[in-house]
Amino acid sequence: MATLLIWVAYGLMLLFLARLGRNNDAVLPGKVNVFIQALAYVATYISAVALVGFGGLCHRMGLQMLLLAAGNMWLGTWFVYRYLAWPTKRRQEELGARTPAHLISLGYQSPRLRPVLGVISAILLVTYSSAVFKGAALMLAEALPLTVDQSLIVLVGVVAVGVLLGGLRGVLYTEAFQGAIMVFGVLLLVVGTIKAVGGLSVGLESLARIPPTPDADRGFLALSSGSGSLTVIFLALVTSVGIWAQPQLIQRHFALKDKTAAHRAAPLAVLVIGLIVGGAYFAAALSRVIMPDSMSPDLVIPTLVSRLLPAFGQQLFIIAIVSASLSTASALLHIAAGGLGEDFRGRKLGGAAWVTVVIACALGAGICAKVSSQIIAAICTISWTLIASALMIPYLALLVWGRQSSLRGWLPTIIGLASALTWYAVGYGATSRGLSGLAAPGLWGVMHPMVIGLAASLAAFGLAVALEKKPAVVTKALAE
Amino acid sequence: MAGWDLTVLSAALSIVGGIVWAMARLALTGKKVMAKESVLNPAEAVDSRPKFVGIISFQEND
Repeated sequence: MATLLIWVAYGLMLLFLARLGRNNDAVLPGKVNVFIQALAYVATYISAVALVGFGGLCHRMGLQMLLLAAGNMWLGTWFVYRYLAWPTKRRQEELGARTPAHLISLGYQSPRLRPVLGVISAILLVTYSSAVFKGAALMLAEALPLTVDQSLIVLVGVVAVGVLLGGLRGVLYTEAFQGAIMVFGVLLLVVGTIKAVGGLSVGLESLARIPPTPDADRGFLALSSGSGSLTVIFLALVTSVGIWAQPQLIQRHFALKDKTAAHRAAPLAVLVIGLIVGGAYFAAALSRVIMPDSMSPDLVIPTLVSRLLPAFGQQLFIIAIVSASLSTASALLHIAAGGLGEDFRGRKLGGAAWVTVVIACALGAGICAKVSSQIIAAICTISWTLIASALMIPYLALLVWGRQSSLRGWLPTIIGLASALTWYAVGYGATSRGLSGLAAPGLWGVMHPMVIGLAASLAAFGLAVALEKKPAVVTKALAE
Repeated sequence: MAGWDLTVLSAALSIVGGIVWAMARLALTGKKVMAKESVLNPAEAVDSRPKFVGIISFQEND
């Protein structure tokens, strides 16, 4: 009964906070203070996929996964607030953009780019949000007497109502609240794990003594050799650099008050993400000392929580995981609805259209979540890569050089997207062997599609610049 | 430090260092804001401190 009350109170708190954002534009956030800004950014960034999924990998691969946490802190958060957040806000104000797709289409003076980017983002992000909803539903079903399907319906409903009630501003408030819960939940887990292994130094010594395994072939405190190390490094790059151009995170910068606010948000966001991902990955890797059995990575964090934390702590941690999922899901649902409802239609969203498009996206995410979770998890990772490959170069170039020609927007977007897709299909061994039976030879086979997509997109941008400067010379060279 | 390799150790230290740096920056910023307020107008400094009446106090107007 007490458990049920905690969850009902949590749900009501979310709806109350979402309601604080009412009477604002559904798509634009207005300006929020540094505290909300930093917590909302981190809560959108980190989902249960990161905490539970990568946490499970830490148990398997050891402390080398801290490279991901360090990358998320410095490249994914500090660098973003130091160099990208304020220039994004400045361009958004300068161009009068309402969504990230709108920003890029205005920056590249191509109105047709907006619906294309809006639809691509909406499709990929609805799919990503379905994986996030599924993860949250699995956790909720463990905490309450509900089936996974019932949990899914409740969660999709709460998020959809929250997004409808408060628009983007309401979403930011709920995310900030959820970010704070995530910090407390992870800290509980860290303290519990350190106590269980007999203290920090004893735990690390025990971890160092565990014999190497194929996934940690140089021990649990060292980077693996060969392709294993490349996998970790690419994972760190995708999760730390790939996020720069994710529309749901670009949109968080629209809520900045001024340049000082961006610089002030940096340490707070770094602190919060450091505690959350650093803490969760460290605890999961250290848990190898007390849970040496090989188990499914997805079960590591739930098992650790049920073994180490008291009943109240378990509930708090489950709320933290559900919060991680819902904060990301509400951001994704909002941006997908904006993509379909405003970018695709080319008209300002509001009233019945807003309600319809949010419900449609929520239903889409719920239905996708019913599909096999394995397929969804794969599509989830791929969606980040594809969006980064399509948008990163145009987005960064817009921040640095301002308004440019449409060719410089279209060419890198299309070439980046197509190259990453092609590499997934024929070059990247992890996916291409199943899709086409082909794979690039040697270490090229582990080269992540985001690297290929970004390199191709950058080359396409250079080609567009060259074509505009010396069209005759370049055309002749291409013809030859 | 047995078993650690340089890459993983650097990552771990950069996380701990980042947390310490962030806490120090936050403490310093808070201190500066308080000092600035009290020097400019001691009476107003007291009144202008955020009133934490629930989450609403976190809002800022557009």
